Amino acid sequence: MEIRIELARLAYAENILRCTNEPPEMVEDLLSLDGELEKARRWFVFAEAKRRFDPNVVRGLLVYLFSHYASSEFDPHKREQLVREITEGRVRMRDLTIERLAGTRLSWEHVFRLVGRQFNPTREKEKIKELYNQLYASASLIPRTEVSYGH
Amino acid sequence: MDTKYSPHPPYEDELDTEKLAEFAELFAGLRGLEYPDHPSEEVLRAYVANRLLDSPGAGRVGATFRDEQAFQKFLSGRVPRWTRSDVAMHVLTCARCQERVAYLQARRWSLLSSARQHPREEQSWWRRFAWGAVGAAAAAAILAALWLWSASPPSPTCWIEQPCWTQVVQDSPMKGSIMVVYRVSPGRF
Repeated sequence: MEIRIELARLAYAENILRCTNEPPEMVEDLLSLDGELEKARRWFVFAEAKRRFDPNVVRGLLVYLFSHYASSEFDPHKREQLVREITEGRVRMRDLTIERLAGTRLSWEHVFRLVGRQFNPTREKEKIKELYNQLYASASLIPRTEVSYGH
Repeated sequence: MDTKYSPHPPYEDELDTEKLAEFAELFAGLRGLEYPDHPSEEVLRAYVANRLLDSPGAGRVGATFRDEQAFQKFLSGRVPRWTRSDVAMHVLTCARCQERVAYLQARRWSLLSSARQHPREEQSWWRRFAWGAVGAAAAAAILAALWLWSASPPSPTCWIEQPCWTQVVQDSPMKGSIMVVYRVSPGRF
């Protein structure tokens, strides 16, 4: 069960990339069924960042993440195909899936080409982390206790 | 805001070192799974060709999280109708389907490559001229046929045998008018 919820969280992350995601508040319960609310929130912050900052830049960060960490194995053939499609402008971010990006190890240059403009990844990453702290850091300090209506 | 792409970004050194490693642990739990169902060849081919939808309808929101029932089906690995996200997640965690997708992808890639190597032969000017002339002639023939058809007198609305016709004319209070019309356009009767 836990692994399937883990997969569901990744499916949600993919939806963020393709802009087909539900708002975080709508799926919070479903994606934390295994009790891993923190893990769900780490994806929710990308959805929230897309609302607040440049959505394409946030999607670009996701492209890089999926391409580097969704698979531990590097697939040079898959990379060659995808890079060629990106270079020729035959693929857009909304066409991509985690599976398609996994193992391709795209460079930032390829990500910029997909996004359509350059950005500073370190600065954008810091903005995401800052937003996470702003949204959830205080929430995680409050223990989730049962509410009692006892007399 | 810089919106132009340049192959040499101004912060190249930073790009070399920025790997977003802090987020790597979000993928830590990912591993292979056993599935009761697998997408068909047709579904995989549609996925590879980027023709699968995000949800069965035309909605912009993915189907996986639409309601609890859809979510339960996703968790059980028994999806009633494969969406793009369902297939992507399945292939990501199913070794067998990874091989199938890699094969289909390679086949598609070789087809596209061969299509690029042998582009459609450019038609010469005289062939295009000949096709144009044939098209114009056909259009002219159709227009002429239409014009002739509309100009021809309409088919008689009724047929009255000669003896009866004489009787009709004689009995009619509008006898004079009928005869005038008959003389002007006899084909109509």
